[in-house]
Amino acid sequence: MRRARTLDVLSKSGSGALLVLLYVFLYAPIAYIIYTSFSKNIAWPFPPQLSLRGYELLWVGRTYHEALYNSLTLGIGSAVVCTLFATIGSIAVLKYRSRWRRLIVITYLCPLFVANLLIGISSLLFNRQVLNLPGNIGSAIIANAVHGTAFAFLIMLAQMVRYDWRLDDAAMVFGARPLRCFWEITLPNTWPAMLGAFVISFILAFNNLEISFYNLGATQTLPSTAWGSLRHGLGPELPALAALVNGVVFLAFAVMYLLMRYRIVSFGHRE
Amino acid sequence: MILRLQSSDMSESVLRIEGVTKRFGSVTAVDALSLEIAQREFFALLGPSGSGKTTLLRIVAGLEAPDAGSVFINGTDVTELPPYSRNIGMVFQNFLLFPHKRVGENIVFPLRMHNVAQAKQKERLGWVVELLHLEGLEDRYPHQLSGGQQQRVALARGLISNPALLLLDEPLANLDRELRKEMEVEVRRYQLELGIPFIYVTHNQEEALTMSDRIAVMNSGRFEQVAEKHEVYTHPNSRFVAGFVGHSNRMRGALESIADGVGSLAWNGMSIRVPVPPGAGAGQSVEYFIKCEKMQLAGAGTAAPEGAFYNVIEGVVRDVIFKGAAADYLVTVGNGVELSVSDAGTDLSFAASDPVRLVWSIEAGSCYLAEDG
Repeated sequence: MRRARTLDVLSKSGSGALLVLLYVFLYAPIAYIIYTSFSKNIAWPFPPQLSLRGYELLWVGRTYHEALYNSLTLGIGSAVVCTLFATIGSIAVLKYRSRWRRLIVITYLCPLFVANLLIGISSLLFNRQVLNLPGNIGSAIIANAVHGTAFAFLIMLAQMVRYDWRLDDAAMVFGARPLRCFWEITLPNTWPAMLGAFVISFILAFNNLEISFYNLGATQTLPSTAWGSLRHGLGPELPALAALVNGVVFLAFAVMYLLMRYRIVSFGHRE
Repeated sequence: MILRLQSSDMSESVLRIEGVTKRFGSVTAVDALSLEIAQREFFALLGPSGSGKTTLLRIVAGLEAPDAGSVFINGTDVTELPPYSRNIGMVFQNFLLFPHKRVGENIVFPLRMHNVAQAKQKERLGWVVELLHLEGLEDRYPHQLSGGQQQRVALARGLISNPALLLLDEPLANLDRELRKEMEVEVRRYQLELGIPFIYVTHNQEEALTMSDRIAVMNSGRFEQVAEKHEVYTHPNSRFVAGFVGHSNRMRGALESIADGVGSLAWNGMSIRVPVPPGAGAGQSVEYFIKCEKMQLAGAGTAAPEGAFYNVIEGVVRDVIFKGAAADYLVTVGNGVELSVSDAGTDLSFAASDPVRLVWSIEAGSCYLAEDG
């Protein structure tokens, strides 16, 4: 009896410790950079000395403002393209049960397994040599969408399998034309999947360096500015930037979680 | 156009299908079917799952395009028309109510899609809500309703636009037994009240028998029999129908001899008199179906009707299954095989191990050539 209890306590505290270790593994670098961003000496921030100099530099630095604006444009542009393509793909696979659906799924997901760097370089070569497109934010949006569509498609497939497409049949029998049917029935029941795909593909493009780098030309985004300024040595604004981006992403997920937790956003049939 | 008054001409068919065929890959789901359905008719498509009845219904609705053949509604060829231009009402399996719309919005959806004026929408909603006793539920969401209420909402949505005909795809399959019995009677009442044809797909023979005027029994994409329900029940025209509709005892064996249109079937060491199926000769294998309630039980040794038109065999009661309104007797006869006899009398005249005598008129059953093998 006693031995069993001791074992139980041991295994419980053991798995607790393992969980803590996993969290340390996942979050220690991020926690460290956030801590550093508030420190005076970013090279060795011990003992702690509070400083907001990094944030101040970001606040007044014009290059960062422009870079933020460009990153937002890149993120939103790419997310719109990705969500649109992923929606079309998942409707083809799930609603129309296309004969080619396995092939569609595999080919849509292929870019997931190609290194970002290679997508970036291939897009650069193709755009410049075949399409004669200059490097700018438009080219970067298109190149990022290649990668993002695959992610968006994966997320939408996982969510949209729960949608009962026979609801569309019902709407059509009751007089809804295809576009009306999509607007009145499909969209209100599946938009959380599209929102999820949009958010993920936005974050991917917003944070991306390897693909964007080759296609942006002279345009600067947050990651490319950070990369560029690294060459002049680690400035105090870089930890602050990293902390801010992490904070915004965390906030976005927290809001989505809360919306779903309290059923403000729910998916499919409410039962 | 959608709110036009229905002509009540009985002679003109509301739905006519001609040579409709649908294949899925190598499977022929619907095989060159033709059918006419009249105004005011309650028509059941009865068959096991996979027999093609739902596919046929979806072709009528326009949700599936036939590979060959035509569909006419009130004389107009609608084969090429999409579902949203056909003026058909439909009630789906699992109801398929729109989960994000309130009951009222669900019901008026067909009117809204056809751009019917607001005032008219309200008037129609009032009418259908009263017809189906949905008062006070208009502001609820479908998930807040009971199964029976969801069923009524689905019916209301199917009927509100005054469709030329209503298609019902196993609408009661998900309701519990009590509720199903209740809804069977109600659905029939609405159909009589509205005077439009209902086409009702089901695999449940009791539903088909309770509600419909005519039944088409489907099997492997074909109609086995299309007839008044009484005819289908009492005079099944094929082996399949005889086995599928009603509860029958099935006897299979070779015809030993034929005399005056009465054959003698060798079955488990007994000779059973059967009507000879057309084209059958001595030595051929046949199957004889006799409905459980067509057999009568008599005490062993009681006088049995004499003559060539009766079968009389001896047996022993193995078990009695009392069901309230009727009782089923399982009777062991020669070679240990069991026959089931249904008796409406509830006085339970016989008990287990009683020796009994089974008596029935040979014309009460039906006999068919057995399929090879």
